[in-house]
Amino acid sequence: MAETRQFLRIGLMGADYLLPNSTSFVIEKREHLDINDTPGALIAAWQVTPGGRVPAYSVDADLNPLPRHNWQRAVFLKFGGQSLGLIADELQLLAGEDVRVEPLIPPGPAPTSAGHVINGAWVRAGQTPVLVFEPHALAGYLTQLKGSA
Amino acid sequence: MSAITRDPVHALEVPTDNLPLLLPSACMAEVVALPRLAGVPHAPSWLLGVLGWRLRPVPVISYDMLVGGAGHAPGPRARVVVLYPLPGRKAWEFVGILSVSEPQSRIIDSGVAPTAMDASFRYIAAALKFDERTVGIPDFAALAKVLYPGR
Repeated sequence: MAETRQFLRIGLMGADYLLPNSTSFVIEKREHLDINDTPGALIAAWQVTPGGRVPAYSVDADLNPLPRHNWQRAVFLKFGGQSLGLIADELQLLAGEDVRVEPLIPPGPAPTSAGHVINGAWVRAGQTPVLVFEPHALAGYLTQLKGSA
Repeated sequence: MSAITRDPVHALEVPTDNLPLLLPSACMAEVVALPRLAGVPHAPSWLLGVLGWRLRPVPVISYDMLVGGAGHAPGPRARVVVLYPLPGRKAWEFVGILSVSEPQSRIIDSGVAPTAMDASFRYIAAALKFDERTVGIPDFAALAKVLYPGR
């Protein structure tokens, strides 16, 4: 049976992104996470799993680390046997038939060794395009944050 | 320098904060008003964002910032010149160049003379004199290399 294509809309400080379900992800509510109360910490919370703690990073609309506390949910991406999380202001599942993604290669050098974190966009008439994450590059970017945390 | 003697070429003069650009009409798909762009994370400063154009995403660049000039917020008269894909790029890779105001129609004919290239002209294939003003015709192959390094 064919897998149903979905997208997760991730709201980050006024900017919207889409994450395709070609990568596994888990959404967790704040109350199910271990909150990091350290002022200025890059890691906002941890997901506690049998294998250990998985960090969730707080970033701004440009994906730069930005400590903040007024958030309610996080999304954890699973890739290559590990997980990393992202704090989100909004999370919404969208059916694949409602979203038309066009390919996009951003000009300029790629910000991660895995390439550009964006590889597509959903363009609707009269609305600002919604950029689509390339899951492996996003995971690579979050891994870089893990190294600097 | 000799005058241009070929058939007249229709072009648009695209105002920038530095060297105005002269774009042959055949390179351009459309000129549109500048809407709110989608910001690209960790993009270079010259990549202003992504425009939604005919249900396609079109990256918009600032020539001024690409050549090292200072950037500032585009004004209400700003436009985006949507170009057909640069040499070697895929058929859907349209790219937009910021125009600080409405581009002006020009005809390149025998009355237009080439002028000396200044060392500060970057990604420019040729410079022309128009009414005592110098305008630059972009080197699209060079632009493709700098916009898409290693690709």
